[in-house]
Amino acid sequence: MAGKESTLSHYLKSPTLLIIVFVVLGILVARILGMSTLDTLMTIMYFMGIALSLNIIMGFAGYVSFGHAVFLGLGGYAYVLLVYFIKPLADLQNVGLGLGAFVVAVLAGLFAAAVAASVGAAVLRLRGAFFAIATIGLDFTALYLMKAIVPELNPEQFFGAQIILPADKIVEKDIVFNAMFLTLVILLAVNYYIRKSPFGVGLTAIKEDEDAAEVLGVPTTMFKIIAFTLAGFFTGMVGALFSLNGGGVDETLFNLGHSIDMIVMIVIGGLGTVLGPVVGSLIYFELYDLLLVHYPGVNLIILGIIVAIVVLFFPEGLIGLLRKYKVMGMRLRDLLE
Amino acid sequence: MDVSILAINLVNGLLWGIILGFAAVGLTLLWGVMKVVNLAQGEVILMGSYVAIILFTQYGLSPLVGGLVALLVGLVAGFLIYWALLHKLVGKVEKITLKIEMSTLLAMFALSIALLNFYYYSFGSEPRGFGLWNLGLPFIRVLGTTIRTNILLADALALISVAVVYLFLDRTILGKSIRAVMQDAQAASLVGINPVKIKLLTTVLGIGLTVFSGFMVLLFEASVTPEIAHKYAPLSFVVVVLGGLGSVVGSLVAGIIIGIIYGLSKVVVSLFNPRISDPVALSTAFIVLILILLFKPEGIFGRKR
Amino acid sequence: MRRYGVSKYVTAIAFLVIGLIVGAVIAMSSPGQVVTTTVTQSKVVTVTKTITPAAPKTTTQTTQKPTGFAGTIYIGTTISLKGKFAHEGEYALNGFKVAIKWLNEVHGGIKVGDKVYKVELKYYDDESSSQRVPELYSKLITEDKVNFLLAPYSSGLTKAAAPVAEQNKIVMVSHGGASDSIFKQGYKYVVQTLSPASTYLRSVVDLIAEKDPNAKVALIYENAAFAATVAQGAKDEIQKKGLKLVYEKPYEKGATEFGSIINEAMAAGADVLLGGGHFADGTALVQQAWQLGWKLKGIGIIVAPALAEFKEQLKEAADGVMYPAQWEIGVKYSPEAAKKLGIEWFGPTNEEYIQMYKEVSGGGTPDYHAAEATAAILHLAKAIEVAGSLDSDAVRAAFNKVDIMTFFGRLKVDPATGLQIGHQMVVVQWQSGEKKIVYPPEAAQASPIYPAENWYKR
Repeated sequence: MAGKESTLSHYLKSPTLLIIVFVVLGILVARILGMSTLDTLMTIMYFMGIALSLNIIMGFAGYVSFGHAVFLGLGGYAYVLLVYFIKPLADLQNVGLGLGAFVVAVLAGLFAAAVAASVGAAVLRLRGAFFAIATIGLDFTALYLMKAIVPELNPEQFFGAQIILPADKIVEKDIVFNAMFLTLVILLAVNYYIRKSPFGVGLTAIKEDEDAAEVLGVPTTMFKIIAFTLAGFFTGMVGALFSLNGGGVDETLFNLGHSIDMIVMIVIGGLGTVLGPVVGSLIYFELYDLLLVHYPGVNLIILGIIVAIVVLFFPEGLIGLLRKYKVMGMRLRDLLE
Repeated sequence: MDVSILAINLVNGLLWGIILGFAAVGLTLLWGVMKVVNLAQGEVILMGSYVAIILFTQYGLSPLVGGLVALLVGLVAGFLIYWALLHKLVGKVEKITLKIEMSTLLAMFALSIALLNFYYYSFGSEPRGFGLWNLGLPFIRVLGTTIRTNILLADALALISVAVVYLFLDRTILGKSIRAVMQDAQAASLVGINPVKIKLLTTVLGIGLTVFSGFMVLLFEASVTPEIAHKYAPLSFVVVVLGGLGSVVGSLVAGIIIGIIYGLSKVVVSLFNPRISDPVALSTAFIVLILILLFKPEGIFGRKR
Repeated sequence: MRRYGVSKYVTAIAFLVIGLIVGAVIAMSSPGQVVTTTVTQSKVVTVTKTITPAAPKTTTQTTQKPTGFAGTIYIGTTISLKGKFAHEGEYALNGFKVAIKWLNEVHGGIKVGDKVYKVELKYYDDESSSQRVPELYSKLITEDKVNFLLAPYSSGLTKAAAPVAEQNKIVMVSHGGASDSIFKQGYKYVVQTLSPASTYLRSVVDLIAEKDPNAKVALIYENAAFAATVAQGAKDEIQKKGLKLVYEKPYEKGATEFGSIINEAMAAGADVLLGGGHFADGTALVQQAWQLGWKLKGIGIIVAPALAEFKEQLKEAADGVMYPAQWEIGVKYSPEAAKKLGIEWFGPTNEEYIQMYKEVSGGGTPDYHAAEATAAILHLAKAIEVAGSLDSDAVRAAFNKVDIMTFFGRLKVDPATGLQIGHQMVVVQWQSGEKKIVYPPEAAQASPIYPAENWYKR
């Protein structure tokens, strides 16, 4: 790494960083000026959040976690159960304009991270399809165990695996927004840092050729576990705040459909970049809305075909495609991360 | 423990396991020979169910004819899937790298999104099936268990199909070349086996069998909704991993094992808390999956890699 | 790049074909930009759908402004016009329209103190997605400034909307969210018009207890919030009436194969089957009970038998099956019945209701989803009149005082929770291929067939 000053000036010249800052500011401005409802912004941030979380393991290290929705579910259940049963944590939510809720979400995220770390140590020995299948197995295991456990925790109130938060345990929308916004900013920073750090270089080496990376002295096992744990942690946090926003949680949070959302966003945007998931999630949000409004019923059929076309013909995604071009003599490859 | 409850669950677990095992045969061939994991497995299974249903409800054809047509439709679908999706990704490639594997995963995944939502769009989420149709006798009693004859028909068809596929792979030249490619693609091409031809054949066979199994799944479940895809696809993965990639017999045995574990765990959990026996029993299959992946990733009938 | 030879063209052709199919499908289902529906002879109601890419669809209804109204009360809601509840959503929308028509034209507007207000509905399409619901309800409150809310259809969506109503302190009336648990969370602004889930099978159990005190019941239900609440309510009633519960089993969502469950229930000696969940599993359960030759005296299944497809799929097996209904054409609630009970009648009579529904929907007949929706607005209107104010807190307090009879039945909420306690479910039975109300006796069209001959004597 270069010295502090030159690193800073390098960052300032990077359009990636500028775009990220613009996106973040855009959300904030839209929020302050009331250009969009809080819930619309929440949806955008949710999409961006899950895409950026999965990006850490899928984009950088090349391990496609098809069952990543498991961490969304674990985070959501952890959060809801924490505030449901522990009074101080329910009160903490209202402290500090969202900082309290953020802290509780961190606890929920830590639970998801703990599962990710312990399971990751085992399943990350698997590669490719086996890893993907193992995470799907993990998702279903967690789903069914949750269905078995949750109703037993409070048989009078929890039917199926649905938990509705009581009125005194939900919070103002502003608080959820602030907590989610903070999470997203940290998540962006983490993604950007990983992309720039030796850790990220190591992950990319794993993606290109894991055996070669091992030979070159990359501690592959440790790197993979760290990446998987981070991905689990942030997915859990997003799931937690998403559940808080919805006033409760049910088993649909484990749906593989959520994994589909994450993967599609990353694939459309471009694997292995920071901008990919950001741009991908914005495109996906618009596309989803557009198709839903104009072609209800067939919207997801079209989406499937779009994904197939992207995979077959533009496997690098939008950002990957742009990176091939030059603008004003500058190679975009050097500029877009 | 009530013995009759145990018998009921074991018999039903066995009957289900055979279906499960056959449903995974196509998947195990595709995965074993081409290293292509068919993430659209559930949706491809449903294709067979819906073909038979349309023929039955719209054209009044016997479900038995519908099953045969489903097999034919499956073979054609396999042909289309190979040329539209897989050839570009794996057709000419000798060694499947992780990257190519990811691309095939995503491509099959895209197919699954499109197919699943096509079913939702065309058939809705209502259950569809053969209504009260049966072979003249709706049920028989075996070992203190009442069984629908449709289930016995499905199981018989599944067992016969597995036997035929096994003989095909074991006895015919084409089948032997498929196994040769499965064992060592490079060596196979050295002795003059055309890998593209074998890959095409495998896809046609694999998808065809999977679609055909949709007919058995329908007979077993009595009615299907698009949701069923999410039940059978993950279980098929479990069966393939447990049975060993590419092993047809392994797949059948693994299906039966999963079915019986499911039935047994239901009985055992019911002793403690009947309310939660179903979810726990369903989770056992996936716990088995993760354990097998960790401790014996080649499966019970697979070769060491 | 490698050369792909012929495969490139096959790929291209395959996509072209898929594209053509999808294009054809889209062309068939293309949503109209403006839909005009004539509602009455004199007035034309225009439903304008403005479609913008990012923003959800807004739909506003404008009627010619009659003179003499002091203002307009806006009621906001989302309706499932697409997705899995599209069928129910359409009925609900027509149900709302009937109520608004009755209030504005027959009733002459809602009387608030000495002023009379017109009622208008503002709604968005929630696409049956609980993820869309909070966003749309915030929009209704903050941008459309609605005075009151109606909940969306289904317990799941109502659950998603309830926190928004609560945070903004606006009364929300539930017409399609039967789950009890929504109302047990201390939400202050949510009230219920339909009977809660826990009462669904109560009337069926009562009927069976009257006919056959020795019945041995098997309770087989979907392991999800709604069905499990129904089952809990049924269990309580079974105990209260002294029936025997010989077998109980929740099954997983989406289950369609019931071989071992039915075998276990038969082994336990059950001769009455109660339970169900949604349409798919409920139908499959009855179908397999029939195919496995289970001799049953009584069958009470929620949700599935209410739909005509149930009969189409099960043919002779449908006969004898009972189901609880919030409302059914032919119920006998009338102003006279209200007088007998000493409570006030409000809204159209059943005959008037069916007639008005026919006009509004262009020849359709209402089902219980429509009736619930109409009743919810009538319920709200009555509470506003009693409160004499448009303030949500005053209206919520007034709900506790409202005890009325409508075409839908009696309406009265539990003051503490907002749960519906006045309304009673009716029991309907398929008899020789037709639906007949068989219970309670005062609403019955026919006497119940118990034991069900075709199921028991075979």
